[in-house]
Amino acid sequence: MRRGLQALPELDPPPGVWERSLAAADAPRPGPRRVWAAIGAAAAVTSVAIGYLATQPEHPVMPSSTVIVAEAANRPRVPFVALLEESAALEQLLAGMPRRPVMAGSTAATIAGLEDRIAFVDGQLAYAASFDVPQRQREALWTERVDLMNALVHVRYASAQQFVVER
Amino acid sequence: MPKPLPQADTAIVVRARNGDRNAHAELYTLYAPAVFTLARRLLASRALAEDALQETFVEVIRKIGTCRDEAVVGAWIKRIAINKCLAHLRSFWVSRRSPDGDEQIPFEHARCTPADEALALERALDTLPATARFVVWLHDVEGCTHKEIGELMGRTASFSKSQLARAHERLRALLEEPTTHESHSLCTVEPKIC
Repeated sequence: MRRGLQALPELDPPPGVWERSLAAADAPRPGPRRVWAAIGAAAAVTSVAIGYLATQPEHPVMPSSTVIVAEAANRPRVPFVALLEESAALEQLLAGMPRRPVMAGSTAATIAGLEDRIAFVDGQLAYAASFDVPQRQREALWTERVDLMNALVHVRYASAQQFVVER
Repeated sequence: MPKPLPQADTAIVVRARNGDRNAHAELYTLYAPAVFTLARRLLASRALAEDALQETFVEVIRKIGTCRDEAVVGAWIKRIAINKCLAHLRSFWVSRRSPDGDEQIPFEHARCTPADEALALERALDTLPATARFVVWLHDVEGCTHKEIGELMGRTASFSKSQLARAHERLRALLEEPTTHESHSLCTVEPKIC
C-alpha cells in the first residue's frame, strides 16, 4: 500500500498561480490589530457572543509574523488533551445541528463573525504547530477555539429554537 | 521512502531572502509541483489544492527571510503547505462547501494496466474521509511519525495510528473488490489525471 501511494505521479500545478501568489504577497496589508480585549471577552462568557463580535473589526486578518497569545485571565487551566477532545466534540455537535434556512440578518452576521474568528484561530494554531510556539500559548489558542465554538453552538441552538417557535 | 525533494541552490535561497523576485520565482518553479501534489492528495480537490498552493507561496515570499538553513528550504516550504492544508481541513467553509463537480469521478474497480491501478489508488484515496486521508498521506508518503501527525492535527499519536489502520483497511477493501461487467471503462477511456 505504502509503495503504491509513494509511486503515485507528481502533478503539474495549474497555470497562473505564481502570478496570483506574487500579487497577493505584494498587496498592502492592514497593520497589527489590537485583539487582546476581544480575546478576553470571547473567553469570558459564551452567551455574550453578540457583544463580543460588536467589538471586532469586520474582517479580522491574521498577523503575518506574530502569534496571538490568548492568555485568558482567571480561568482554571484545562489539560491540553481535554481541550482537544472538547474541541472535537463541539465540532461533531455543530456538524449534527440543522442549519436554519432563513434567519435574522443580525443572527447570520453573528454566526459568520464567529466562524471567521474560528478560522482565524485555526490559522494561528497551524502557525503554532509548525513554529514550535510554547505549549502554554498553544493551550491558550485551543481554549479560545473551544470558547468560540461554545458560543457558536449557543447561537445556532438559539436560532434553531426561534425557528421552531415561529413555525 | 518518501520521494526526495529537489535541492535548491544556496545562492537562490540567499537571493530570495534578500527579496529577489526572480529567486522567489525559481523557488516556485522548483517546489510548486511537489506542493501542489501534496495539497491535491490531502484535500482531494483541485480547486482547494490551487488555493493551498497560492497560500503557501504567499507565505514563502513573505517569510523566506526567517528560513536560516538553505539546505532545508524544501522541507520548510512543504511544512508550510501541510499547515495550509490543515487549515482548510479545519475550516468551516470547507465543511460546508459542496464537492467540485469535475472531481466526482465514480470509483471503478476494473484495472488493466499499472496506470489503471495507479488511477484506482488515486480515486480510492480521494474517497477516504479527510482526516484518514491526511494521516495516510502524511505517514506513508511524507514520512511523518504518528507523534508528529498527532501534534499537527491536534490529536494524540494513538489517534493517528488508529486512523492509519482504518485508512489502510478501507483502501484495501476498495482495491480488492472484484471487477464487474459494468466497470470496464478504465481500460477503454482516457484516464482523467487531475
